[in-house]
Amino acid sequence: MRAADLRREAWRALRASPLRTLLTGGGIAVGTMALTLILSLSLGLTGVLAELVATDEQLRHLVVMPGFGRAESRKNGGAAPAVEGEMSDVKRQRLQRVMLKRTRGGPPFQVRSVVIDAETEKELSALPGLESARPFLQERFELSFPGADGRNAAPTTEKPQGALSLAIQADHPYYPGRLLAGRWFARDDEPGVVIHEYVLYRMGITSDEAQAALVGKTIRLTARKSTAMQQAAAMLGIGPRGDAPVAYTEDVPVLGVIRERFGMERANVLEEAFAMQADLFLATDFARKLWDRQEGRGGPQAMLLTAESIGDVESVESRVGDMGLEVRSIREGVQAMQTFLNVMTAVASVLAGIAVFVAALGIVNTLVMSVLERTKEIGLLKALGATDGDVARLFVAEAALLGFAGGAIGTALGWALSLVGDAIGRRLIEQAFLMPYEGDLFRFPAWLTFAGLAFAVVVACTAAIVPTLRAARVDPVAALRS
Amino acid sequence: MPLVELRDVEKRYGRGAAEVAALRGVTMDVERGEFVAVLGRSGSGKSTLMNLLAGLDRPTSGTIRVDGRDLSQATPAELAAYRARTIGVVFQQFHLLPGRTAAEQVALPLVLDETPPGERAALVAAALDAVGLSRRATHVPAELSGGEQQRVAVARAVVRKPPLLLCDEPTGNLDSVNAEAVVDLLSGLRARLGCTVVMITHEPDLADRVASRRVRMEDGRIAP
Ligand SMILES: Nc1ncnc2c1ncn2[C@@H]1O[C@H](COP(=O)(O)OP(=O)(O)O)[C@@H](O)[C@H]1O
Ligand SMILES: [Mg+2]
Repeated sequence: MRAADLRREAWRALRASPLRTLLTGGGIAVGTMALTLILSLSLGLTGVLAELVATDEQLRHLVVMPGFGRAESRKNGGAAPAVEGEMSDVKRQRLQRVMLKRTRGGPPFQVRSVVIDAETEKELSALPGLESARPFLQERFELSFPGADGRNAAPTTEKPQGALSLAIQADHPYYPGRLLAGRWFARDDEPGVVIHEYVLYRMGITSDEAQAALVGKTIRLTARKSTAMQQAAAMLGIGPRGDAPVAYTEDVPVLGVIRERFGMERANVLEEAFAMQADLFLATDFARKLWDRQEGRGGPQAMLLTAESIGDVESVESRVGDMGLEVRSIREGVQAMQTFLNVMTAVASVLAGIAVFVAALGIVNTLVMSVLERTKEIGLLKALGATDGDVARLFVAEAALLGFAGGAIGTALGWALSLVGDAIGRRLIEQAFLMPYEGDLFRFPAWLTFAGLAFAVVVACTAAIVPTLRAARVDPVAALRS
Repeated sequence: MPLVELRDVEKRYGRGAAEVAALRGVTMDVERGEFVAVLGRSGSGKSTLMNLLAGLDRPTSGTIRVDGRDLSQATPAELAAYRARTIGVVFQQFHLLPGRTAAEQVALPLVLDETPPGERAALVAAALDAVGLSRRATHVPAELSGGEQQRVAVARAVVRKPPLLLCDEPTGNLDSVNAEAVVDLLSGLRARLGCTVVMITHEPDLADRVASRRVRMEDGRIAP
């Protein structure tokens, strides 16, 4: 039979029982829709994850913070700590688990005894497998505008405003994108601040115009004497009291005004843990210069290490751990998220696969019915010269057409729902983070359309195998006698 | 050389105790251009013989040659080609497909034979014209009388102008007027197309009316 004749015969067979065709095709459509939608979401979220991490550079990052010294569990490589005394095995295991659990997060109510002093900083910078080591310097200042001297039209504030600063490098990939006014640092040793709109708000500068007018004006940073204890407290946002003696003041220009980072915006994930509370930003070398103006303060609150390769992260991590410092990287977290996403996709795909399987059973049922109803017709076609192959092709064509139509509708529905889902998801994100969201949630590339369609056709044709063999085997003599 | 040569054809159904011998050694020739009427009581093996001739079934033993080709040795594909090109079949129950117009019924052998679509319409029109149903081309079976339906079936059987026309009780479901019209039609087609006709019938009168030879079957054998 010619292809055009096959198509016409298949179409005629499907049209002969419209309701059955509609239900069976509907099953295929729903299954295909579910599958394409899930794949679309998975593609989108995988993309989001990839964008969130942005570059593999972040996977090479480690953050080092003051630690509690070398824990027992670390010393013996994570093996179970010894529990002394006479007790049941169950109790011993239970206590071992408690000890493991408690030492992992550090002993409770204990000061982080291993700080990052100049010595440690050097040691860290010299670790093998390291590309760079950058300190995170967080410092507590009081902000005011020395407006009275005539250089400044900025409002003088009655009360100096407490603010936490963070040192960030001039060539940072993300911070300049968040500027509301002015500019980012041109050099790492440029004196000046980029200030957060929130601290300006706290100082009574509310309008966009007032904020913009501030750029180029002078701001006064007042630092008070603080101890190592107070530095630790500063990390928690509890600054030194206003009654501590002033260590120094520094007048610098306001270079720019910046806003908060929200939700899904590109960022360096490890850095953000520190930037979260920051009210103003200083260029790294300039910040270090201010930091060194107070003596005996030791090193920075944290260091951002960049390993030479992702493969080096693990060894660097264990070396830093051996120094008694606390160390974190997102490599494992990202891997865990990716694994989680893959598992989710797999589980959802299995569920959608079940829907497709049920749809395939529907096709089997429809075709078996069709064969039974058309036994006489099959016998006649054979008497008129149809080969077994002709008969088989008729039913495969019927299944393929059903699969194609169902697949096309299903893929189209999947695409449409992915747009709806994307819009809804986008709105939810925007409501949650008060930011326009630029990334994808669902992705529907062209290949997914073809894959959905091809998959439906393949499933339908597979479902057609058994009914088709039955049809081809019909004995024309018996069929025509009945 | 005769068009059809049957030699010691036997056909048994079933096995062991349930075995039925439908044909018990049939030897017979049909010459080109003959109109053979096969008569015989119900169960005498007429339809079995017809199915073997139509290549729908194979004999248990013996040989069947049609146009020089041995059907008992043919592959399934060769048998299908034989059914498509060498024979036309007409059944007692018409066996028209519901929901298709007369023209579509008649075109079916052309579709199966992969006749180019452009050539089909003329062949269909000629066949419908030959059975006098040109004006019923767009009618579906439900809109046709029994006699008309059987004439559509005849048109379908002859659309490819086969050399051998096999009819199994073509008048069995028709009243006497329509029965006579159909056998007259077969006779006319035989003259017009130069084909050979083998027709099974219960009614000796109809056989007398058109057949050039009568064959009587009894209990799976040709009666002397
Ligand atoms: N498929 C079959 N299985 C078993 N017996 C059959 C089958 N077909 C025909 N027969 C038997 O073969 C004999 C001849 O049948 P058939 O050729 O149909 O007779 P007729 O057409 O002359 O009435 C009958 O006894 C019938 O019961
Ligand atoms: Mg019979």
